[in-house]
Amino acid sequence: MSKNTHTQVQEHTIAIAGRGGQGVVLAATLLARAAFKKGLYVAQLQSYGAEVRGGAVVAYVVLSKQPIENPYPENYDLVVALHEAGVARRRNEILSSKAIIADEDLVRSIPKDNVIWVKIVKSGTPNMVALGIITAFIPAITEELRKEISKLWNAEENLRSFDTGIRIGVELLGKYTKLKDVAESLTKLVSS
Amino acid sequence: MRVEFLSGNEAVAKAALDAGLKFYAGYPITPSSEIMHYLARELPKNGGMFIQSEDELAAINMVVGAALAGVKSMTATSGPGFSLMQEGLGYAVMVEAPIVIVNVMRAGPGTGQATKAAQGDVMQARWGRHGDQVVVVLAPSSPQEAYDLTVKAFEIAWGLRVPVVVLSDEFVGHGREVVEMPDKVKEPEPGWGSEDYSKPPFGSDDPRKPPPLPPLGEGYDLLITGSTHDEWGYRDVHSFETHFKLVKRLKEKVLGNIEKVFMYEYFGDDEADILIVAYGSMSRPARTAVRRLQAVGFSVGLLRLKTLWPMNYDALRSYVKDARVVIVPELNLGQVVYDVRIVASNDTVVVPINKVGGGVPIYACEIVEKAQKVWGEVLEEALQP
Repeated sequence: MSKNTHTQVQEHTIAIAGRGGQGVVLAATLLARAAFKKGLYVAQLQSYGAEVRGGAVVAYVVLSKQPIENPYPENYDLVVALHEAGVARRRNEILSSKAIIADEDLVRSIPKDNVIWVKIVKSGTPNMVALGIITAFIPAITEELRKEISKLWNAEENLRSFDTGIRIGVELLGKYTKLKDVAESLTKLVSS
Repeated sequence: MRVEFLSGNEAVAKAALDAGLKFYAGYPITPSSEIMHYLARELPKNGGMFIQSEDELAAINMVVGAALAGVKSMTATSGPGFSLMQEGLGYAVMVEAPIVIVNVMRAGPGTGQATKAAQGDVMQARWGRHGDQVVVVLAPSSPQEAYDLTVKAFEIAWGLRVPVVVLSDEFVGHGREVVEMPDKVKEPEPGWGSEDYSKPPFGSDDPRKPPPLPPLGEGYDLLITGSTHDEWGYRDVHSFETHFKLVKRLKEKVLGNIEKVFMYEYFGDDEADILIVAYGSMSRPARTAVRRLQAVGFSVGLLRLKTLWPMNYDALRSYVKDARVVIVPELNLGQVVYDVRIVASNDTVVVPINKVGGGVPIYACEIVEKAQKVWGEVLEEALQP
């Protein structure tokens, strides 16, 4: 029997799945940097191909109050899917995730019951809308993220898309209880 | 203390600068390029020199030249480039050049999958050169350790006048995490002590102590050659004595210091029934697997190797001997598992978990599942009359 009792490790993961050129990796990096500036431990990893555009891209951010033990989670707390390509690349991980929000035009393969469909790509700059949706789940990092986005090229349009994303996210949170649970666990990370 | 959010590649570059890097030559290759991007920008600002060479062959030879001139120098590459550097690396061993080579592993052989992580270059890092030779191979598991072990690589290289390979991988190199760095790193000191150049530059009475390295161009006529040479550097490509003495010393120089060079960490129960031996990126899901198995009552531990070569087989045996089952998860078709098999008794069940390609990690749940399955089989066998 084990002598050292295991300590509980609380790590939460947010993933963005898409296609090369949508800015998936950039969005995850900004999210991670904002969370880092809020004092969290973060790990941000991605899978992408050799293409500049096209190809499957999945990027995710692991958040914790303690140093990250394992940055290779088997599934995610929240997934925002922007394109079928990325979904196909990490299908098992995505399908076993707690909450999936997917673009209704560009994602096809997820069974209808498992997912919340929204217009993401058509609502603005895809990665910024995605970031906005995610931010609705952890409002405490909104200002840090806004600062990060302001440094980008074309900041004005990006910020507009980011705000659109927040509006979509808040609306979804009001509608679906399973999203509320995810938001609660993420918010707890930053609040105390 | 500086705390920054860095990729493993950025952490390697920062560590090299902190350890006193003044010369970098390299040829870009995914997934190592960010190391050279960072140094192209920052090294000249810090009084160093950066060169993008025409290819990897030139890069490694420039780095060897700079090291022999007394300058802390490094190159970084990935599998295909690492293959091209083997000749220069063997030369570096023979002339005892204190260089650091970073290999950010991707899936091979050939050009393989450029953007996908793998751990397939372990044996190549150890044995890729012809002839009898020993280099040191360190394997970081995170951006934090990429920083720590790169500093350590310079310490070992300059402490022993030996090439050191930092064997990172795409997950570590491209993954971004929080890295804590000391405000100032003490620049590694040469292990040959004072600059007493009356002593032979290629011979040492104490096999564990490297001979002095007289800086090139400073009042000393010296032949540096990859051919067999005596302790003053004169070529001798005929006699048994000179060659045997030289290659034996080159080996003993490293193995005689194995306590300093071989680094590892143990996590979990003492004398665990189930031992996981892992290294680099895949030691992290292994740690989660240990906790999950402990939570359901297993006696389990993780031996995390930070040094992959030279292997301290006594240390490895001391952990393996208590285990009934040893699991070795690797992002390759099985390489470090052979080390475990060397030290394991016939009663120990050694189980590899192998997965490679597509940038897919070995998940903690896969290690847990395998451990439970194999443990079940071992129990069943033990219960048979």
